[in-house]
Amino acid sequence: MSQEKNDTAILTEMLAMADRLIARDDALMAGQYTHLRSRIAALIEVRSFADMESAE
Amino acid sequence: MTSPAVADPFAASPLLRRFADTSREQLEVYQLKKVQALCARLYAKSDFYRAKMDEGGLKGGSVDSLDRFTKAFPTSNKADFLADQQAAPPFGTRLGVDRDDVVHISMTSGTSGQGQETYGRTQRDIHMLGYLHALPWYMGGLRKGDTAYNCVPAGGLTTGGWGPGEALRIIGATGFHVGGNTSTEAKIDLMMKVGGMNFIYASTNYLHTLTEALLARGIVPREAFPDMHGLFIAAEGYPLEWAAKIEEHWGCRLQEGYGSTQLNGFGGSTGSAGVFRGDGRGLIRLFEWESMVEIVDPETGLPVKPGELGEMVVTNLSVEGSPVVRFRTGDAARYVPWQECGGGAWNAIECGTIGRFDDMMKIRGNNIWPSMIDAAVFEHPEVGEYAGRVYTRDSKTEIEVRIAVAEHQSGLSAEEREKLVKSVRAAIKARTNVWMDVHEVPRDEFKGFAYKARRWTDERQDGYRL
Repeated sequence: MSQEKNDTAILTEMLAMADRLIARDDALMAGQYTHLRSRIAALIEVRSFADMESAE
Repeated sequence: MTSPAVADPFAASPLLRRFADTSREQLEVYQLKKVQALCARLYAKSDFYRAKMDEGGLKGGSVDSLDRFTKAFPTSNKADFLADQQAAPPFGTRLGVDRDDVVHISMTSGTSGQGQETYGRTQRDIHMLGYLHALPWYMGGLRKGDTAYNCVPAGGLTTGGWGPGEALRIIGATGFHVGGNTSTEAKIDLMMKVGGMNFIYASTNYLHTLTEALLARGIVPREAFPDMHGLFIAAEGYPLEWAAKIEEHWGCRLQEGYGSTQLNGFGGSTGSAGVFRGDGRGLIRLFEWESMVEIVDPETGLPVKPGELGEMVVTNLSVEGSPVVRFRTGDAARYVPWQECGGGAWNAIECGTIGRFDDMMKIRGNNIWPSMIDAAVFEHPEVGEYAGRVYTRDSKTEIEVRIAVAEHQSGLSAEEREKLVKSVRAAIKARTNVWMDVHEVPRDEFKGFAYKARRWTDERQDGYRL
């Protein structure tokens, strides 16, 4: 697996973990968990052009 | 030009190298995929864009090719957005995400006088806003650990106020945000006190003001800041003669970006190449995997030919909240297709000449852009600032250009000043085909010309008032 693929696989796992945190019922943490998830989602977005090429 | 080269950004980032090595075909496959996802989402979640797609015959938001997209999806403009916002405040019906996913409101600056567009951005958009500043700055030489001097007012209503802070954190650079209410003299004091500056982000006009003020204090920038390795400007055109002087004064390469609220940051930059290409103007390579940029004839809406001036029409590919789809920016740029860029699949626009179609002045039958007169005036390094006025006298159009000698050139004799005025007048005639009335005024007359220079006023309507 190339380094690029690895990076996105890690980020995808992190996204799933962040989703689990968001599902917790804590009003103080809810926005912060969403912030964390969005940062991970953005990194996946940043990489997505290169990842599409790898998938072809 | 011979300014020092910037550390190769492609060598240090495998990801960026992948972006650079892509083929045009791969890029367009990716663009289509993103456009399809965008249209499907907006058809479901945006009344504004659903109506546009229905009008263009894109039923259900279905798009099968980029060609069909650019031919069928009707364009929008500022007036459309303002009407949408008025009907459904504050975001209109083009938001495209759930209201509770909006974490930030951005507005355009309102300099057009028509009104301010309102944009609702999500958490992911805010990261992308930072990234779309960080990407061109990284390519321009900014690295983790650098100290970056941000001269653009931070915070506030506009997108440009928030992008730099996010970008510097993303890169891991130290942000020093001195823009806004601090005077130029105080900014210089802070620069000297903090020291160790590596990167400057400023509007074209402000970099000019800052450089002039440093020189007036007897400070040679390249000596005072020997570790500077990136100067990055945006927002306004400039003559190459000015860019060469700036590089000489600072001892490093000048880079330029094209950005806007609609692009959620920068849509292209000179990368690491700088603003020169040989002895001519360099290229702003467009980040076309983040935004689609069409360059069209504003009258016909058809793509312009290579080398021609056209209006930039923008579609976001990575924005969630308040995306723009085929938005007519009113920005005028000269199109350079990727095949003529000396490598790479990204299209480009000429740097240093981006203007506004609505800034064009029709004077005695000639189409004149302020940038043409900027170029004529600032090819004279003795000039610090200028302002122009078009007005009517005895039913005739008159043009007045007031120039001020730069502070560090205050030793010019009366004879030299007279010669300068004549030379500026001839240079304006050469570039515009119009003789204008040029005279010198004290430098103090232009104090407060800080961030974005609006140098021209058109008072011709006043001449017809009874």
